[in-house]
Amino acid sequence: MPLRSLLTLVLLTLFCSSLHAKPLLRVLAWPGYADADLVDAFAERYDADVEVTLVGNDDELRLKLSKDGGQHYDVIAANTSEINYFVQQQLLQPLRLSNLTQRSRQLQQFRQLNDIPGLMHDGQAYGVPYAYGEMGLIYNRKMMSHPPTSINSLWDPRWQGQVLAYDGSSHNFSLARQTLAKPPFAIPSEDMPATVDKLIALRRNVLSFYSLPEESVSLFMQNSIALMYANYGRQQLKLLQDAGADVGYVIPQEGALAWLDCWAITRTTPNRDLAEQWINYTLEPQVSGALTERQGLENTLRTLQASSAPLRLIWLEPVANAELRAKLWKSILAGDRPGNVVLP
Amino acid sequence: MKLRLGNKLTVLLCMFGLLLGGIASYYSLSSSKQILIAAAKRDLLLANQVLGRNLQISLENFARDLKVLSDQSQPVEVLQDMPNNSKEVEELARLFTSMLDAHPEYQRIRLIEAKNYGLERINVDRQGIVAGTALQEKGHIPYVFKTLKLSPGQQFFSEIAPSRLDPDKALTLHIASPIWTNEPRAVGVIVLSIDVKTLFSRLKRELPDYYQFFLANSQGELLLNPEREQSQDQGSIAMLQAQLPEILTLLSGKSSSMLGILPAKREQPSRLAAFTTISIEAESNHLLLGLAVPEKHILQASQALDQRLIQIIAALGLITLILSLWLARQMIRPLNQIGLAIAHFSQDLSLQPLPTERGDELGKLARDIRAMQEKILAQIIQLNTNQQELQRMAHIDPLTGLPNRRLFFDRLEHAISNAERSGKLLGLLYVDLDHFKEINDTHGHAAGDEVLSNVAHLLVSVTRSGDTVARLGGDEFVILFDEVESRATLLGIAQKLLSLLQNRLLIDGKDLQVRASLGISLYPHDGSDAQTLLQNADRAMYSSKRSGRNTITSSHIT
Repeated sequence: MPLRSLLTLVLLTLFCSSLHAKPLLRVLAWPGYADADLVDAFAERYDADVEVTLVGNDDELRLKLSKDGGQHYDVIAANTSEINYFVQQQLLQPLRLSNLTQRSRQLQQFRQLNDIPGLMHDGQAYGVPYAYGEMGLIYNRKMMSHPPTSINSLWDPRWQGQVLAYDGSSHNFSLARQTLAKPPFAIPSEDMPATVDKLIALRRNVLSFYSLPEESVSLFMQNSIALMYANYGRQQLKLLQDAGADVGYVIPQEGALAWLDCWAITRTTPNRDLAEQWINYTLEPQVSGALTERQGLENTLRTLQASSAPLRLIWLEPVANAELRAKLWKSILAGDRPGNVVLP
Repeated sequence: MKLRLGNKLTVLLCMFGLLLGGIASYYSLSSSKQILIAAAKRDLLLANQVLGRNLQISLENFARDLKVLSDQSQPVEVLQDMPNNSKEVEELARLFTSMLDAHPEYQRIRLIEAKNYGLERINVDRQGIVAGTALQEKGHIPYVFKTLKLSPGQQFFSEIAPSRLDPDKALTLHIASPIWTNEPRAVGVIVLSIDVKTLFSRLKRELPDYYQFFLANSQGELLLNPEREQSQDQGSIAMLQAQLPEILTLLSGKSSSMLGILPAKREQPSRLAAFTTISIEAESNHLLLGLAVPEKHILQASQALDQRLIQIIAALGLITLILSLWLARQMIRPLNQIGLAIAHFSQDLSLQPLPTERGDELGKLARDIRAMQEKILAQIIQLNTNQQELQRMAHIDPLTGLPNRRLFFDRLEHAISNAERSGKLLGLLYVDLDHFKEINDTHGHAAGDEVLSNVAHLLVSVTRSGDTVARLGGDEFVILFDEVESRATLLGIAQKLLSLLQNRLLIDGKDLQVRASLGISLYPHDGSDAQTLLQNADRAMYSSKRSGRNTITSSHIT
C-alpha cells in the first residue's frame, strides 16, 4: 500500500531527524569575539547550534571554565597567561595544528607558537592567537587639559569620584604593583598589605568599577568622568568615540599591560572537529577583520598600524597567587575597610 | 481478483461517507483549534498583564515603605552624628528588622552615609544586625553614588543583573532614597534590597505550573530564565532579543505589551509568549515580564476534542459501513435471485421465485423476465405438440390409422434383432385385396376408402396386442406376428382371416364382396433380414394371385 509506506517514511524521517540533532558548539569568549551575525553565518555553514557565553573579566572566565571540569564549553578565548593556567589545571587539550589550516593567514610572529610564552607545553600547542591589545588610559579631553602620563593619575585626588577602573583581580593587582614600581606579576607576601591598601585607595578614588566595555561606556556617558583605566584598550576607545565622547588614549610611562587572547579547546569537548572549524572560521579575513573594524582590537592577520612609535608593552605573564588576588579583590570590591581585608 | 459488484458498491459508499465525514470533521477541528489558540493568547496576555500589575503594585509598595523609612527623623540624626545618637541607631535597626520580618522578599536594609566613601552606618539583613566593624564602604556602587545625586523625594531603582562571579547569588533589586538635611548635598542614602527570586516565586505561585516565567532587564538580559533552570547551565548571559527580535519594540518603549512565538530549540518546545514592560521609574529603567506556554499545552485541550472527533469519525465510519453493506445487499440480493432464476430456467426450464413484488426497477425487471419465461414455455409446448404430430404423420397411414411402410420396417428390424437374441420365430402375413381397382372404379374412391378402413379393422381384429398391422400402400397390407410357434400356427391364423374375408361388406348401403390374396414368410426360415423376409412374403402373395386369388401361399424355400 503506497499510503502505508509513505506514512512509514514520514515517521522514519521524523525519528531520524530527532536522532541526528544538530551538534552544539559552546563558545566562551569576550565581547566582540563572537558577534551574533558572524556566529549565525558559522552556524549555517556547519549546520550547528552555537551558544555563546561572554565574560567580563578573567575571574569570571576561570569560574565558568573550572566548573565541572570545563564540560560546559567546547572552545574558549583567553589570554596567554590564562591559557597557561588552564593547561596546568588540565582543562584544555592539545591542538591538532594540521587541522587549523587558516593559521597560514596569520602573521609570522603569531605562527611561531614556541616564541609566545604560555602556549606550548611538552612540545604541544594549546592556543592559537586571535586578538591582542594593551590596557592604556582613556581621558576626557573636556576635563583634562593635558593627557595623563602616569598610572598614578588614577589615584589623583583631583579626580576623586571621576575615575573609572576595571573590576578584575589579577590586572588590578598588577596595576597597583606598577604604581608601586614593583614587578607586576609576582607579589611577595610581605608586599601584599601595601598592595591591598593601594587598591583600597583606588576604590576610594573611583566613581565605580566596570566589567564589560559597554558598561564602561554607559558609566562614562552618564557621569562626569575624567579618566578611565581601559582594560579593553582601543576597543573601549572606539566604543566611546562612536558614542560621541571627546576622549584621548595614552600608554602611561610605566608601560601598559598587554594581552594576547588565544583560542583553545577544552579537554572534555565532544565536538573537537567543530571547535577546530570555529577557530579556522575566526581566522578568516572577514571575521578577524571585524575585530578591528567593529571593536578597534588588533587581529593577528595584519601588522599593527595604530602607532609608529615603539610602545612600552608589558605582556601578561602568569601570576603565582591568582586565587589570593581574586579573594582579596572580592573583599576590596565589596567595600571592606583597610583593617577588614583579611590577609593570609 | 476482480471485486464483486456488491463489494465495489460497499467500498464506494463507505469511501464516500468517510470522505464527507472526514472533511466536515477536519474543518470543525481546525476552526476549533484556531478558537482555542485565540483564547489561549487572550488568557496569556491577560495573565501577563495581571502579573505585571501585581509586580507594579509590589514595586510601588516597596517604594512607599522606603519613603516611610527615609521620612523618619532618625536617619538624619544618625547621619549628622548627633551626640548620644545610639538610641536612634537602635530604634532604626529595630525598625529595619521589623520591616524585614514583615516582608519575606526584603533581603537587607541599610543606612549609608555620603562621607567616608559611602560607609554603611546600619546594615540589617535576614541574619540580623551586622556588627559595626564589618560595615563596608559602598561609595563606588551605583545605588550610593547615583542616589546621592537625586533630589529629595526621588528614588533610585537599580538594574537587576545576575552576579557575574556567583551565578547562584540572589538576584537583587536595590531601591534607594537620598537623605537630605539643610546641607546643599544629600548626607546619605537608605537602601532597600529586594530578593527578586523570592518576590517572583510569590507572584508565580498564583500561576499554573506549565507557565514559563521570564524576567529581563531593560537591556533584554534574561534575569529569570526558565530555560536555563532546566538545562542546569551556569548562568551565561542570554539576551531575549536573540530569541525574539520583536521584543525590541518593547525594549525601545514603542509598545508596552506584545505576543510572540518563542521558537523551539534544544530541550524547549515552541512556545506562545506574552511580554509586558514594567516601568520602575520614569527613566528608561524598566523590566520585561514574560509568560510563555508551550504550544503543545494549548493544543492539549484540543487533543480531547481530537479524540472525540476521532470517535465520531469512527462511529460515522461504522454506520456508513453498515448502511453501505445493507444497501449493497438490498441491491445485490434481487440481482442474484434474478441471475439464479435465469440460470435455472436455461438449465431445465424450471421457474424459480423472482422478486416480482418489488415496486422498483428491479421488480419491473423481474416481472419482465417472468413474462418472457412464460412466453418461452408456451412456445416450447406448442413446438413439442407440432413435432409429435409431424412424427405421427410420418409413421401412420392417415386413412386407416395403421403404421405405414417406414414405421413397419422400423418395427420389423427391431423385432428381428429381438428374435435373433431370443431364438423365437417371427411371422409375416402379406395381404393384397383382389380386384380392388374395380371396386374403386365401380363404386368410387369414397367407397374404396371405406373398404380399406373396414379391412384394416378386420386385420387388427385377428391380431394380438404385440403384433403390428401396417398398410404398405394402395390395397397392400402386412401383419407382423411377434412370436409364432410354427408355420402351421401362422397358416391357421391366415386361414381364419381368409374365412372372415368370405363375408360380404355393407358399404354405403351396398353389399360388396371383398377378397384377398395372402402370402406368408417366417423368420428365420424365409430370410434373416427385413427386406428378404418381406420380399418372400410378397412373392408368396403373388403366387396366391397367380393361383387364382383368394388363397394362401406360404413361402417355402426349403
